[in-house]
Amino acid sequence: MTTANLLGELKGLRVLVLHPQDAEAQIVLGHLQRIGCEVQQQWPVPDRLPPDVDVVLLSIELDQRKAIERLVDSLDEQAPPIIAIVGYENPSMLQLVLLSQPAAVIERPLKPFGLLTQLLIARSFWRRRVAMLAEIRKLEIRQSAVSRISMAKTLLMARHGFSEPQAHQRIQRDAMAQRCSMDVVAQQIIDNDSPERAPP
Amino acid sequence: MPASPQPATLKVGLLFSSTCMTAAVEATQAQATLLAIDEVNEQGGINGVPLEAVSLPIGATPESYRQAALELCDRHGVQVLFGTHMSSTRKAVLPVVESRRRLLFYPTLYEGFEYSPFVYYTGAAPNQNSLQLARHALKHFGRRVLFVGVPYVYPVESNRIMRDLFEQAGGEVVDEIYLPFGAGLDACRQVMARVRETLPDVIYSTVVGGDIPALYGAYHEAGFDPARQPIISLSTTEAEVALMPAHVSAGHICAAPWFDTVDTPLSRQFVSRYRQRHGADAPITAGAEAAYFQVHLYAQAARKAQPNNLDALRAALAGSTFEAPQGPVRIDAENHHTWLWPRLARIDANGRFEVLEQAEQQEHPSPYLIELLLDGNE
Repeated sequence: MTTANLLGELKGLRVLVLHPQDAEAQIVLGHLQRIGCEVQQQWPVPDRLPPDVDVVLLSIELDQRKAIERLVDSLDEQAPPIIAIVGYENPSMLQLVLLSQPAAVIERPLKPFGLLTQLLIARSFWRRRVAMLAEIRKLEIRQSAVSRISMAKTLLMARHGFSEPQAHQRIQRDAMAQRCSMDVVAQQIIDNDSPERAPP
Repeated sequence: MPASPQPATLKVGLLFSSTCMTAAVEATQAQATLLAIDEVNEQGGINGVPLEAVSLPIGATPESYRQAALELCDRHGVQVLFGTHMSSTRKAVLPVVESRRRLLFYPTLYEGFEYSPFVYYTGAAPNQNSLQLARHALKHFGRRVLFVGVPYVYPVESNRIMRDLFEQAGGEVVDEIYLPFGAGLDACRQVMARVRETLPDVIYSTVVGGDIPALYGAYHEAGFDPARQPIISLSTTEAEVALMPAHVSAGHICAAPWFDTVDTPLSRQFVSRYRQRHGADAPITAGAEAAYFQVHLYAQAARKAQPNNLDALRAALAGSTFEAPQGPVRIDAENHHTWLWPRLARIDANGRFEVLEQAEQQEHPSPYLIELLLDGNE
């Protein structure tokens, strides 16, 4: 995603502000609306996020530790990025900040300046994370296919005295004949119920 | 062109509330501030210009302190503020002094992990009181501790530090209880039921202000023995003990840089002047002593600098010293906290703090120390 696209998506971005309804919350809510975000505010911290949220601003409060733990536990890989709002820098607070795994942090006293930057950083960080996770999934699948095919080749080489290129050719030929992937043929060979044919 | 006339007075702001939950101890801090201002003025003020204390009514919320700070800076033109007690109120005032470029002197123990070029911290940092309290408890009572506090930043962080110290000694935190503010006697009775179940060697209390008498009252009512299983605390002070019957507070342990029983000429002089001004039975706290000496530290620096030249003022404050009631104190130039004298006391049968231990030298302030070591961090 290009920078221009990221900037463009700020308009209409759905932001959930988990913060007590007070004067500081008003500063943030007002500014998010100014930016063009769709904003909702909620407090105390809920156990789960509502659907259709793109970014979460989360006030880090010691008396909400249990609720924050439950919320973080409920999040999956695709969960929207969290921007932590912090008022203290002591170890108890820092532990809670780390627990919430924020993509960005804003400090009290809250002010309009800086919010836009942190929103963008959180979104860009989240997009890269999601893309990276998708890439990892793809590689995991590919990796397991590669290792299955290599195991099937080893089996063919042992059973039939094939060379490695011959074993490869055989799997490839069967895959084409059966109109399926080499991975599927490899699995059949491993399962030992593949249609055994005589060597060419 | 005529020289601009010297202002008749130099206004300084007080930030103490008489309606919040820590009102009793804040009252002692306000009164000690006023006493010190009088003394500064008796000594000729700031090069002939007397200090004028300005205080506004402050409610119980951090926002109320912030509003008062704004008004003191913007409408009354004070260059310096003395006060705040709970960390939440200090935090609320911090952006005001930073944006207005004024100084805040904070006379209260707190949990550390803060620095502002505009703030001076004259109460104890955790390494100047927690360590002494933990060592004493481990040596004389045992390694099992129950925590009871109220839900805000000071108790949570102070408990984290205490847990570290007890665990270093192979000890155990048997429970960590947070009472709501204003919990009352019944909630404190439930804490005592937990004490009965978990049998701790000491109870570490970070309860503050108005809830303290109920905690000690419930302890006494439950019939526990402070000689074997006391409440130990950094936040219980003369102000709360004055609100309890003497037999309720007797035997419990506190640590602070100063107690109203510290028996040195300067300490006795401070106590006698304070009581002349505010009443023969008026309780005085470590927070009040810090509130007192910080005004003198400010005045010394202001005499050297032009009082509204902030940079000169800060330069004069860096490393400055004062003969305080607790002993000579010094502002640390690097972290703006204060070199203090750790002490430990047991409350006697008359509700007076009997000093059991006192440091042989000033303890340096280490507000960013993540792990305190029982054997010392040097």
